[in-house]
Amino acid sequence: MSISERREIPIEYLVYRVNILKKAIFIMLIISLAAGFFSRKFSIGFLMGGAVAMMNFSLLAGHIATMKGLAGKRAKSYIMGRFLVMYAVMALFLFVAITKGMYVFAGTALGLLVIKFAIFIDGILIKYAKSV
Amino acid sequence: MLSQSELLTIVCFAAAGICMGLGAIGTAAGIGIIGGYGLQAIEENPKMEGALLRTMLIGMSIASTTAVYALVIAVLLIFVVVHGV
Repeated sequence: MSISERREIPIEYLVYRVNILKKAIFIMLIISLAAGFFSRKFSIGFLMGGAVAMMNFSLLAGHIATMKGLAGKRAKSYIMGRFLVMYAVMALFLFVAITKGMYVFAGTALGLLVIKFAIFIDGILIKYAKSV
Repeated sequence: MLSQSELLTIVCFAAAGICMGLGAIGTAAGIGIIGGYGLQAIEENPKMEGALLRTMLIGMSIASTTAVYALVIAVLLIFVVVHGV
C-alpha cells in the first residue's frame, strides 16, 4: 500500500483532533494563568506538561491514521516503536522537570492530563449542556 | 553485607521497575484491544471510518493515562529517592 493511500484521513477525524487541541490550549492557558499568581514554577511546569501531552496526542492521532493502512506484524512493530518514542520523550521532559524542582515536576505531571480534561469537557460537559 | 542506603537504592530501582511494568500491562492490553477491534470494525463498516477512528483515538489516549502516571512514579522513585535530585 502506498503512502498516499495510507494518508487518506477522514475529515471528521481531523476536525475532532483540532477541536480537542484547541480546547487543550484553552485549558492550559487558563490553568497556567490562574496558577501563575501562586507559583510561577508550577505554571511553567504545567505549560511544559501540557505541550508534551498535546504533542503526544497529535502524534498518536497521526499514528492511528497511518496504522490502519498497515497489515499485521508491520502495524504492530510500527505502533510499538512509536509508543516507545512517545514515552521516551515524556520521560525526558519529566527528568528535566524534576531537576528544576518539585513545583515544576508537579505542574508537569498535572499538565500531562490536559488532553484528558479536554476530552472530558468536549465529550461530556458540552454535550450535556447542549442536551439540557 | 549491604548498607541501609544500598538496600534502599536496590529496593527503589526494583519498585520503579515493578511500577512501570505493572502499570504498562493494563495500558498495553487496553490499547491493543482498542486497536484490534477498532480496525476490525473499520474493515466491516468502512463508511463509519471517521467516527470509529475518533473513538479509537479517545480510547487510546484515555487508556494511556495509567502508564503516564506509572512513569511519573517511576521517575520520582529513581531521581528523588535514589539520586536525591
